[in-house]
Amino acid sequence: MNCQEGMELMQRHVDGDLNDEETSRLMDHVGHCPDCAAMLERLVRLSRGLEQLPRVVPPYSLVDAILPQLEQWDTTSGEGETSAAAPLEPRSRRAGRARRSWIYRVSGVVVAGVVVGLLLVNGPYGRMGGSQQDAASSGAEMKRQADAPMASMGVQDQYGAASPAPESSASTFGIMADTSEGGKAKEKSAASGEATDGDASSSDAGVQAPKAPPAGSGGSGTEAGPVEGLSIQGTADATSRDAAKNGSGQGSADNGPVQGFTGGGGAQGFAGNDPSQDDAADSANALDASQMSIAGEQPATEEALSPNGEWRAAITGGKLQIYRQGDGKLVYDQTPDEGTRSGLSWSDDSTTVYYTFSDADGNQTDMELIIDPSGFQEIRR
Amino acid sequence: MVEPALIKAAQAGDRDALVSLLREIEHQVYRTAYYLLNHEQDALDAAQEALIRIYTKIGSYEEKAQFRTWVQRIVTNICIDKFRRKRPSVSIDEHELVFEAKEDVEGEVLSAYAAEEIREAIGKLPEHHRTVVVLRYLQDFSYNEIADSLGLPLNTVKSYLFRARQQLQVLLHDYQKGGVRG
Repeated sequence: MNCQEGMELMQRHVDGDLNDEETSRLMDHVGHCPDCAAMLERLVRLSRGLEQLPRVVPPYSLVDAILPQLEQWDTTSGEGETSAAAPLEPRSRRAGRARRSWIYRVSGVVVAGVVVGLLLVNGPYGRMGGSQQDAASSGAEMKRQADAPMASMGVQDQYGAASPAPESSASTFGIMADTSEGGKAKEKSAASGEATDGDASSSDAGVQAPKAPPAGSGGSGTEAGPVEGLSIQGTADATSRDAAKNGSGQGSADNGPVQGFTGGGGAQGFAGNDPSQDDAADSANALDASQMSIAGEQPATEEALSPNGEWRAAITGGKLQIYRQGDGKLVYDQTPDEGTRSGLSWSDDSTTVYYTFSDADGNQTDMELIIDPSGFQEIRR
Repeated sequence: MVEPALIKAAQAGDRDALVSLLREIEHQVYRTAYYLLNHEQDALDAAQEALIRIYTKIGSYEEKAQFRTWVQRIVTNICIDKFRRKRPSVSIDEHELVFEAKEDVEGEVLSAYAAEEIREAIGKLPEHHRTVVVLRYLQDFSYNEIADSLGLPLNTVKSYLFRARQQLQVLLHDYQKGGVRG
């Protein structure tokens, strides 16, 4: 036996991995080789030191510390099957918010599905008849991806699942209208949870704390995870409204899926080495700022990211707010009044936010806000 | 060890079971984070993040894997990501280390290494080596369990562990030689 072999045996010896024959060969070698004998001594001593390292315990109960966040997750995840990024919120808003975010997620996955369909299908107006079933099975396929540890897997599989099932955008939007209005189809809810989870750890980070954003892929840190989470939700909201009205809704769908795929890429960057630490850090700060502003006073009940990713509209306490996505700065904050606003969506060119205003008597008016940092205008549509 | 029945109940949607399960594993999760990150506050953050992830992903755990290796996979992934973002790991020139080690093997005063020195030395290892050492010694994992946790081939695990120990004993030897103990 040479010293190199001896080293291997010594290493396995300290792990208790040698059989009797190997042990006697090692001892034989060590008996003749003072260097190896000394080395064995040191390895054994090191191993003993490692075994005796203090079993540190946290200074407080970590589970107690995260209970509020777990509760938060419970309320936003429907029946505890799915994960979704959501800002913190008080308990009193639970029911409404839970239902709403559920709808976001359902429509979010359908939007993703539609775009995948659009990308893949040669004849976009093929098989109208069978497509509902196809879409449902693609949803189920996505649900199966609940185990996939990497977001990119989820995205690939959505892609894969959709490919054998060409479907027209019109009929898929029909399904979306069904699910968002009827609020049924638990299975699809689960699938949509995974779709939101397409940004993997970033979604988790959203649940837990905003200070762990993933590094963007290839150095484009500004498009990191949580932003995509928002964009999916926002777009989903927009399209669920449009879908009820007509079957196309392609304008808003274009944004959703592209962001969705970026999410997958981002997640890969997150797993790998990201050379652009500075970019990532900048983006982290920006995200912190924007998330802080959400969580700061009152939680937003609705959010929608503009198609160009530059603005984020939020409804907080019934009033409309616009944030600049880059630095999270609040650029427009409506004066509180008696009415409430809901149903956010963006124009395709990101210049206008549409919403519905409900006054104290419940009368509804369709409104729009024109995005102009030098002077925002809210007008009746 | 966490009772399989508790895991099943947690997976079936029993929230109390899931919270009890988290309480059972919180120390082991924290311990890994503490030795991987070598920083108490970072470890607290990472461990909480891991527990939340376990809470939200419990449905994706499959019985074919050991629960504790699944848990450790989650916490090590979070920690690896954290220290990648925080600082590049120090790479050690192995040849030089081995050479130095051989040179000084004889005549060494044998004394136990202080825990603090070992912890500091672990903090100087490249990330994979550090992770393997922590799972081996702070979780008492076998080679196979480490391989399962990290998704690495068995031989790679052994190679990381062996190299890590070589590097550690050189680092610790230098500590003692340089009189920088305590």
